Formats: sequence, structure tokens, C-alpha cells
Amino acid sequence: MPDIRPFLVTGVALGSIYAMSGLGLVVLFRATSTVNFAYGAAGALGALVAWDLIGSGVPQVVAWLACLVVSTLLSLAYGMVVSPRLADRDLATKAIATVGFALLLLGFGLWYWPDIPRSLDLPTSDWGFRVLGVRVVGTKVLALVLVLMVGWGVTFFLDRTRTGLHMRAMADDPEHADMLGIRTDRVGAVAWAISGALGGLSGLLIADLVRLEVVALTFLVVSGLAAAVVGRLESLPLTAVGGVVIGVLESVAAPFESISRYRGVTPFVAAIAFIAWRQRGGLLRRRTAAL
Amino acid sequence: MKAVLYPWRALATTVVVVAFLSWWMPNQFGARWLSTWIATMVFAIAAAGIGLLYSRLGLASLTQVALVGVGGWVTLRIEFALHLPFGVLVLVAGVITALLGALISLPTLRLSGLYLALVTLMMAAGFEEVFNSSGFPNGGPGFTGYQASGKLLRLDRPSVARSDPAYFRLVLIITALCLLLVLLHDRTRPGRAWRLISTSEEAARANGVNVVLYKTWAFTLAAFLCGVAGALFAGQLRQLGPSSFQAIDSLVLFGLVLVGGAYNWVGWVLGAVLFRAFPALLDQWGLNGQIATMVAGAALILNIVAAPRGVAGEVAKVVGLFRSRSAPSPTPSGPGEET
Amino acid sequence: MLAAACGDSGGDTASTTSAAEGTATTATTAATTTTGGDSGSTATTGGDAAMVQTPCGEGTGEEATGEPIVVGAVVGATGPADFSSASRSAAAYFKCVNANGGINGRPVEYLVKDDGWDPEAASTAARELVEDKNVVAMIASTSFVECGVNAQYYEDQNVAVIAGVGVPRECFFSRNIAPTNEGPRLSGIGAAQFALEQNPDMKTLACLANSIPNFGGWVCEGVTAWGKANGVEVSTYLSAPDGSDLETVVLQAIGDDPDAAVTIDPAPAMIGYLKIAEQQQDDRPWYGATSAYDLAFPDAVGPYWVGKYHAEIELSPLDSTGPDNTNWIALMDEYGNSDDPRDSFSQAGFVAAKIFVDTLKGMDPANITRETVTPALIGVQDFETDILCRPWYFGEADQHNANHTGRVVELTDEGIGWKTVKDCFDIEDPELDPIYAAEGS
Repeated sequence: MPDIRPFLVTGVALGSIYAMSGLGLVVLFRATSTVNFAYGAAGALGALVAWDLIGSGVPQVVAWLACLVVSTLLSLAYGMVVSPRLADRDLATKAIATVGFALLLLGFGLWYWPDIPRSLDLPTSDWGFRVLGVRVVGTKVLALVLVLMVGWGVTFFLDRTRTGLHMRAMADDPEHADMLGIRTDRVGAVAWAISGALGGLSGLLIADLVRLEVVALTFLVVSGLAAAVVGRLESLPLTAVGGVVIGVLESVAAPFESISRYRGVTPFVAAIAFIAWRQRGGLLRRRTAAL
Repeated sequence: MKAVLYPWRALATTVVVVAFLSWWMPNQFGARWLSTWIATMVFAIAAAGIGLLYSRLGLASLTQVALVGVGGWVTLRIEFALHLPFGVLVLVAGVITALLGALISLPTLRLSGLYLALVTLMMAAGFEEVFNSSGFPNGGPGFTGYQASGKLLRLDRPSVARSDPAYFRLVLIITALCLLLVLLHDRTRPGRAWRLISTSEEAARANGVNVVLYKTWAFTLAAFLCGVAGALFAGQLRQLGPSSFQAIDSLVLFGLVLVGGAYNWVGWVLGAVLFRAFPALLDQWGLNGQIATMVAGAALILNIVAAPRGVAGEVAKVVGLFRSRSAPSPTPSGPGEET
Repeated sequence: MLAAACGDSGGDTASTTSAAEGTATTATTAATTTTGGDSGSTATTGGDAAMVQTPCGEGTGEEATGEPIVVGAVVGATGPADFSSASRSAAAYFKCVNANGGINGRPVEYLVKDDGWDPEAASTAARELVEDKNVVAMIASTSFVECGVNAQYYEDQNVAVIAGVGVPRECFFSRNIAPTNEGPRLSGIGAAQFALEQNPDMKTLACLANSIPNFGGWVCEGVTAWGKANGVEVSTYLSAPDGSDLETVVLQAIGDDPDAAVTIDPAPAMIGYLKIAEQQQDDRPWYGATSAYDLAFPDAVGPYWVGKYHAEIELSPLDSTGPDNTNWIALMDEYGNSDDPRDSFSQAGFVAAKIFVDTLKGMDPANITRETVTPALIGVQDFETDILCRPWYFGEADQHNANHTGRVVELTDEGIGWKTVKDCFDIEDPELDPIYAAEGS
């Protein structure tokens, strides 16, 4: 039995990335019933802008803020221009429209930033400590801490603030939310903005921890979706935990020779298994009556 | 199957069109464009599967290009192990991929549209990982048929279709046959069942339609088409690599089928043209191929918001307007509209 | 003053006015070839190279005006790494030739296509170049996929390919393709040979490469085979081509505690491995293949690795002062772009272009077609250059690996960041036995 301890540690970091993406996706879905496939792409473009700025000598903090601003604005643009026009369409259609947005962003990213290797180094990577036989850099700790903070922060927002209340109302009963005096367009915009900011944050972390490459960053949304699926597209704590567990399972498979090569399928297999298992009880019909 | 009223005029038109293109296209286009058109037709077959699932049943399958990869994989593996005639290889690849399609459709039968899209996307991502990790068969031993050293094998084209122009003709004929196969389904019992199911599953069941059977049939057919496409693709390139079957390719082809027009076989072919020929055109004009991706994305959004019938559908509307002159233009009647 | 020549200078180092920038050459790169080099090495290696006059071709200083000779190349420029380096130096060489009378008066039209690491694109590119553009040869191609996809096609179409840089296995095992470089497998074995020399007690070795078909597996299989013959047990660790799991791979390798590690990957991944090894404060010796050998690598990996990292290089040191190498340096400055990498792949492309030009000089300029060029290139023997340890040759064979002799450099903090520590030595790869046998006879 090979030593899995270093891989437990890297797995938590990987899983935090999945969890972070998952959280952003779930927040948005709860408010707007939209699964946003462009979540990763918006973050990727933000990270690329930050990379450009840092390369031009702009102070790092400014560049990171720029990343968040870019991804928030992109997300908001879609949320305010396209999403309202699809308000009464079915869930699958809404999701597919975001595929279009993802392709648009992805194509732009590949066009404007030709596909050469780039790296984004966050200062937290300079500091680290040893645990379980492997050196953990600060950025990984940051990822985990951020997941916890974001999870807690968003839960607080949804439970304790007015806008959060409206958001939950919209999620529960989109057709009647208007009648209750909820400014659905405004609340929806807030949801898109929050999701965009989280996407930008994810983008920065992933760019540092994995690589700054627009296709990879865009498709990390699929692993984030896997975490979101485990969270039933509604529970933030479950999404976070699910993401981390998936990351750990995937990493821990690395030292086992027979399966190591295929460990990348872990998030997808987990998601499919989860969906298949849950749909046996017809549970997945609950929120999809609008179909 | 009951006796089928097959429109002989449509069949005759098909034969004429195929004959014309067989002659005209290899003459008109150089080697580079000919190979692009071959790839276009390969993906037109896959596009038919996508369009079929979406327009007849309202199901979004985001993994069809990965299934093309499966078809190609099967073709190579079997050829290097057994050396079958090409025609048999194509059919076997189609059948095996079809079985896989049936298998993976079983757990998805009760899924809503969104969860089906999610599951198929997960599958696409999973296939991408597997292709990247085990590669494609190249003459090696074992199940994966891949070896790093040793003599590399390549798929041989059938002796009647060795050259590029000859292979083009073969693929053209097979593409036409595949499209006819789908249209045949449309006009017979499966087509009627699909239309009923997409209107209302309960109503379909009440009418004695076996929903499970016909849904599975649709998936199986779509997967069969992808398997055939994979075999033809393997025959074109004679060896395959993972980079042709990434998750993004499934997404782009899906989007382009909608943009072309999911409800009309012309739209399916148009989707494939946008998928392969349009980027080639951009390349010829010295433009960045990513423009095609951007256009695909923007067009998909536009399609969803404003033009759900796609280019082919909108054109058909205009043509219909023209034809009927004073009569009001026909409005789309929902999924399953006759092509 | 250095005088660089690309062709026969005939002892005539007359100044060239080189107003000839808009020459008949079209080094067209279709699709999305990047203008950024893979390692961003822009420093020149020669002091006064920028001031050099570069008579090439006929040494006339005049633009060639005859009918163009069309030459092609397929490179993997966009994707996990940029491998257009060899084609860029070849393009610079052809530009120089065209500015100086061409090949017996005929300019070279160099068409480079990017396959983006995609087999379908590589197949289409080959067809365009061979059948639509009627190239007489393919010079300085460098791709992870095109050799495999197109080798049979080139044979069927009677096209000779002098690959600037052969990468996967098929580039070395195809009748019509002969690279000027050693190839990653030999380069990796060479590094392992040196590792054993430096650490005679070495019993275990880690081989890190990427999992691209016919690359990583083949390359590390070579190191393993060498290890078997030399009492070293080699363990293989393959990473995803997009570099997403470098850390896991390094952790796995370190976890098995080998005596040393050898890395064989494009430069960005090699930098990644070393950064992670440094993060983990790994203190065993690390070795690498020739892809590490460029001017930006030492800065990219940082001072931690000074004296601790060695690379096996396929061609001469970048700062060597032999006539051809000096020419290459001056040529890149005069006719290349400032962001073209100056690495061993660039040297390899230069050599490929030079072989082509020198061979065609001896042919009848009115009769340059694929039918005449292919046998001429295949017949090349005893091509000597100071950039290669041994003379290069093509020949009629199923396997081509004329360059199987390399050197080793150590990462330092002086000069160009590398210093030569081992001069020309033959690589011991069992797969080379047929070649050694044929050479010996």
C-alpha cells in the first residue's frame, strides 16, 4: 500500500478548487435556475487580464482586483442582457445558452491570448510548511480557507440579508416572486455578480495552482459542476464537502499504478453515479417541474 | 414495420445530388479542401444524431463527438486484431457504439433535460480523460491496443477507396445513407412515437407507446451514427488521436447543430459545415480559427433567444412564405416537425 | 567583425546592403502561429553579431528573382508548447539566401503550417503543402503528431522530410523522414548516461515525461532499456500534456525515492517539475533532455538549481564559436525575429535548411522538382558542420537517426547560464543497434 499522505494534502487543495467553483455555480442556480457553463471561462479571462497587467508592471493587488472586476462584469453582462430573455424557458435551454457564452468567451480568450504557456504566481506560493511529508504552499491553504469563508459568507448572505431572502424566494417560486414585490431583475443581477466574482477568485487560484490556460480553466467548471451535483444544486455545505472529497479521491488514486492514469475521471464518475443513484427515487423531478 | 410510403421523389433527388457531388467536388476542390469536406461529412453523420435527439425528443446530448471517438477507437482496435473488410468494420463500429449508447441511456431515461445535459457533459469530460490517458490503438497488444515502441500500424482504406477523391465518394454515399436512415425513422413508427413522447410522456404511455423503448432507440440510433462516423474518420486519417475528441468539441458541434437548425436535416449538415469547413475557410483567409469558436458561441446564444429553428429553419420559413404567397406563413409546431 | 554566411560565401565577404527585407520569401505561417517563443529567450549569444554582414546563397547581396522553389514545413506551434523554433531559424536562413541571390538564382518560398498538435490538422496541412502547393521537400518540420499521421503519405507522395526536430517515435522510424536532432529518447538516455557517470552508485532512476502517444512511453522505455543494460532500475512517471498534474507526478517520483531523476518534456513542463522539486526542497540530482537548453531556462528555474541540474544537448553549445554556429547566431539576429528562441531546436532547423540549400546548389536549377529533389536529399552523406558532433546523412533506410552523439551542459550562474561539462559522446540505446551496425560497415 503506497504512502497516500502527500496526496491527501494535494487532494484537499484540488478539492478546494472544485468546491470553490461548485459554490459559485450553486449560488447562481439557486437564484436564477441557470447552470452557468461559462463560469470558468469568465474567470479565465479575468485571470488572463491580471496576467497581462502584472506583465506590464501593474502592482499585483490591482491586477487581482482587475481580474475580479472583469469576471464580474462579464457575468453581469450575460445576466442582464441574455438571462432575462430566457426567464421562462426550461432549465436545459437556459444552460445551453450559457454554453454559447462559454464558447464566445473561450474563443475570444484563445484569439486574444495565443495559446502559449503562461504562469501566474501568487505571493502566497512563496510561503509554505510541511505537513504529512509534503510541502504545502500558502496558496493551497488560501484555497481551502477561501472555500470555507465563501461558503459561510454566502450562507450568511442568503439567510440573514434582505437580498438573500429575496434570492431564496426567487429560487423557491420564480413565478410569484414578482408579485411579492421582489425586484427580480435586480436580485438576479446581484446573483450573477456574486457568481462572477467567485469565478474570478477561482480563476486566480487555479491559475496559480494548476496552470493559466484558458481551455483548462474553462473546463474546470465541469468538475465544479460535479461538486454542485453532489450538493444537489442547492446545498452550499454539501457542495463544499463534495468538492473536497472528490478532489481527495482523485489525488489519492495517484500512487496506485493500475488506476493512476485514469484518476482524472473521478469528478465525472462521481457526478454521474450521484445523479444515477438519486434519480432512482424520482427525486430529481422536484425542481424541474418547469420543464 | 408496416409498409412504408417512401417518397420516391426524395430518394431520386438524393441519388442525383450524390452523383453530382461525387463528380463535382473532387474536381472543384484541391487536396486540402477535399479532406476538409470528408471530415465535414463525417461530422454531419454525428450531427444527425444530435439533431435527432434534440428536435424529436427535446434531449440535449453533449457527448456525441466523444462517441465518434469511441467508434474510431473500436474500428482501430478491431482492425488491428482481426483485419476485417472495411464495410464490416464500419458496421461493427456502429453497432458496438450503439450498444454503448443504449447502455448509457438506460440510467438517463428518467432524467430531466437539464440533468441529461449535465450527465452527457460529464461523460464527454470522462471520455476526454480516458482518450488522453490510454490513447488510440496503434497496433499494440491488450485491450487498449496501444504501444509506445514497436511497429506502428495504420488503418487501411478499402481498395476501392484508396485515393482521397475515391474515399470522398465513399463517405458521401454513406452519409447520404445515414441521413436517409434517420428520415426513414421519422416517417415510420419510431418517428410517430417520438413526436408523441415529446408532446407528453404520459399521453404517449396512455396511447400504448413504450416510452422506454423508443427513447432508448433514439439514443441507440444516435450512437450508431456516431460509431459509423468514427469508423469513417479513422479511415480518413488512418490513425486517431485524443485531441480530436475533447469535451469542447462535443459542445461546439451541439451548438452548431442548433445554429444550423436542429429540426431539419439541412440544418444538421449545415452544422457540420460550420464545424469543419468554416474554420478551414478562415484559415485560408489567414484569419484566426478561434473566430469560428466565437461565432459559434454568439450564434448559439442568438439561436436560443431568437431563432430556435436555426438557419435552416429560418430559411425554410422564408421559402414557405414565398411558396404560399397570399397564405399566412406556417408557424413551427414544436418538436418533431417533418423535414 | 564576424562574417556570417548562409551558403557559399566563396571567400567573398562583401557587405550586403540588405535593403532586401521585402524579398521573394514568404515565410507564411497560417492558422495561429504565435510570435512568442516558447521560452522567450531573446538574448543574443554573440557580442557584435548585430553588426554583422551576412552574405548567403551566391553571396551577391542581391535579391533572387528566379522562379521560387517551394518548400514546406508542418509545426506544432499552438498548444501545450510552441515547437516552431526550428522553422523560424529555417525561415531566417531562407530569407538570407533569398537576399543573396537565392539557390542558383532561384528564391525559396517557405510555407509553414501550424497543426496545433492535432492529427487532423496535420493531415490537412500535409495535403495542402504537398498536393496543392507542390512543395519539393519539407524542411525543419517539428511536430508531436505530424510524423505519425503523415509518414506513409510522404512515402506515397515521394516527399523527403528533413525534420528540424523529430519528436515522437515515427519521426525516426519512417523511410522518408530524417531529423537533424537526436530525439527526446536519445537525449534522455544521454542524460541518464551522464547521471550514472556522475553518480556511479546510482541504482534507481526516475524518468518523467508526458503521456502523449508515442512520446512519453517511448522515451522512458528507452531510458528503461538503457538502465537494464547498466544495472539501473528506472521507474516511469507520465504527466498530462497540458501540465495540469505536474505536482502529482513529481510527488509520486520523489515518493519512490530514486537516486536521481531525469526529465524529458517540453521546456515549460521541465520548468514546472523543477519548481515543484525546489518547493519540496528535493536534494537529489536532476537531469534533463535538450529541451531545457535555452537562454531563458536558467532564469526561469532560479538560482536553486545552479550546479545541480544538467542537460544533455543534441547539438553544439549555443555559444560555441565554430563557423556554422556563429553563422546561425548572426543569421538569427539579422534575419530572424527578436522573439525567436535561440535554443537547440533553432540550431537544428538551421542545419536542416543548410543541408537543403547546399544540396540544391549542386543541382540543375532548371530541374528542381520533387522527383529530382527527393533522391538528392535521400542521397545526402557525410554532411559536416560544427553544430553536429558527427557528419549527418539521410540514406535509404527504415530508421533515420544520424545524430546520435551529444554533449552535456551544467546550469551555472555565469555566461549564458550553461557550461559544457562533457563533450561529444555516443548515446547507448539498444534501438540504435541497426544504425550503429550500418555505420560500422
